Amino acid sequence: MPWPLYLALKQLFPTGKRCSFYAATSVVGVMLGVMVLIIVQSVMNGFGHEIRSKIVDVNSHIRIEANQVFSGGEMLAEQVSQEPEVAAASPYAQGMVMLQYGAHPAFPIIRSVDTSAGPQVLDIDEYLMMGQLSDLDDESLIVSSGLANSLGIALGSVVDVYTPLMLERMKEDEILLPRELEVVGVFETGWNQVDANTVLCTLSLMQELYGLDEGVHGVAIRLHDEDKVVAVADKLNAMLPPGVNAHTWMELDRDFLFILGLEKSMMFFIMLFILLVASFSIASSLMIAVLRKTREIGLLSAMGGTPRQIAAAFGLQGFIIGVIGTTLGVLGGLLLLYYRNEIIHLFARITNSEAALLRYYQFSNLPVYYSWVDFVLIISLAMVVSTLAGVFPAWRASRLKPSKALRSE
Amino acid sequence: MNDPLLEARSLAKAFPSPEGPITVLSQVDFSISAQESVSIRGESGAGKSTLLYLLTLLEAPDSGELLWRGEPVLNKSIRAVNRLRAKLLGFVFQSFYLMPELNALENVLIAKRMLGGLSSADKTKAEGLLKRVGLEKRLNALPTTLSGGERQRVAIARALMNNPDIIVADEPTGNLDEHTAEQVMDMLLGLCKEEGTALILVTHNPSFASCTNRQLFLQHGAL
Repeated sequence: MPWPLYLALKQLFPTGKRCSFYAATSVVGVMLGVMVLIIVQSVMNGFGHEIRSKIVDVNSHIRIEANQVFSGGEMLAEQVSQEPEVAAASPYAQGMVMLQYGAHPAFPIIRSVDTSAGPQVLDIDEYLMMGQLSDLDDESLIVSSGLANSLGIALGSVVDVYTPLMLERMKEDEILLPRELEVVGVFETGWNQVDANTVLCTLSLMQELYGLDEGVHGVAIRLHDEDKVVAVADKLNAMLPPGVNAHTWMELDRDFLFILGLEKSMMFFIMLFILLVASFSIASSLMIAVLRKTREIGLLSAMGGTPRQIAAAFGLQGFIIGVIGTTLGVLGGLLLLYYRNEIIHLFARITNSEAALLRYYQFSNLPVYYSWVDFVLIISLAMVVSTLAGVFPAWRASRLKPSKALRSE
Repeated sequence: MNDPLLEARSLAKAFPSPEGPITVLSQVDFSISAQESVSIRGESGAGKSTLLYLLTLLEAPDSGELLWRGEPVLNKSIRAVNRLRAKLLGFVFQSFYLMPELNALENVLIAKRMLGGLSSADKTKAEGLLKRVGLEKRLNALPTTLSGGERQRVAIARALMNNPDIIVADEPTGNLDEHTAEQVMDMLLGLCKEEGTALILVTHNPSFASCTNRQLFLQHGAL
């Protein structure tokens, strides 16, 4: 073993001791930094992944839309379905209505869903808490759980629906009669934005409510392989007529995804400060060691140590602390993530907040997604920061003149 | 007479000060041959330690010539000088300068580590050296648990570890009481004799100086 490495190891783990106090505190500093970064990033990734998959599940992979209502939606869906990458395609219409149950009004988003027996773009069955999709017809609705809760709607409830078309007719002195529809299902996706205020109906009912005749607002498409979404959208755009465009779910939810990414970056930036604080602790401890060992450094020079070797004996300590701290941080982070649900439930039990956890976060298990890119980034950063922390003290040590070092008091 | 192991010709050194350069050494000639022991005495501030640093090239002289084993060294690279110094010279200082993280045996072995690889024979040799300075039962003791005399004995064993041609001892008994100082001095002189190692001894003590083959006195920057 080269002597600078030997001396660096001995200064961190002196003979007769497991490790020096300085080594222990420095390693713990790096370990905590890495651990927190890995936990936060993995949980943020988990949430992001969960939300993204909800968006895809609820909004489909690709939507073909035009600037206005267009006809021939069924035919276009049929044509698109012929593409090998497409798993399902169906025309849809959506808008806003006023829904009244008893004396309670609400203004939900209304969307048509495909009720045919073939492959479904939106797997509504998966999210149905009550009722069945097969019960949905032109005289009924499926409502989201949030809406059902706020209005007190149950299966079999009859609600009044007013549409913008009715308001137009009211202007022409026609009598405004709401459409009475029966609630045949309640669904919950886990995505609050949808669950709070959404109503599902058949396409023909939607066309009737909005006066679209045979027109649709677009065609929703689900793919076999989500990773091909951009390529398929490009392919469809090449074959679609002017004014009709295929948009990926990433384009349609660009702002939301940007905020999601921004949140993750901000968390990373904030947590990075733990690592920076740890690096300052390493640097100051090493600097003190260089000052305290000035005469020993002089002796090392006298015994044949070159400035570069002496710098290595101190600089390597930062690197070794980085290696150990990062390894322990990664292992600690993975261990805590493995037992995350047990820890959360224990915490919730202690603070009596289990119900609140389910109500506000809509999950009973903490979602986690391990991204190797994040792991590489965190490990590299921790190693660079720890190693850099040893550079200045090492440089100072190497600059000491042997005669001055030996003379120092 | 043997060729000198270390020879200095007309060495000079001045240090800058606000009032102008202060000449510490001027035109110093010095030489030491194999197995010879030379003491250098002088008043405090006379430049004894500076002379040692110049002779061992821990500090560069302003002018003069320096030869190690007959070879000029002033124009050599730092790396070459360091390597040569590690083979040629062993150091004993007043304040011992033991590594506090290493035990007695490891402190002796560090000299060998710095020169290159370490073998089991080196460990045996280091143990033997510590035995010869009376520390066979303190091999694993850390410097903080050793007395001043014991620490200096570890430093002497460390200085001898690489079989140097010359031991350079700068006030090796300066931090020790009279009795311990005598013991350590006897040990140093005895070991140098047994090993056939030359000794350059800087000391204030006339009786220790009288034990060497040649006694020099540094005064007004010259020997």
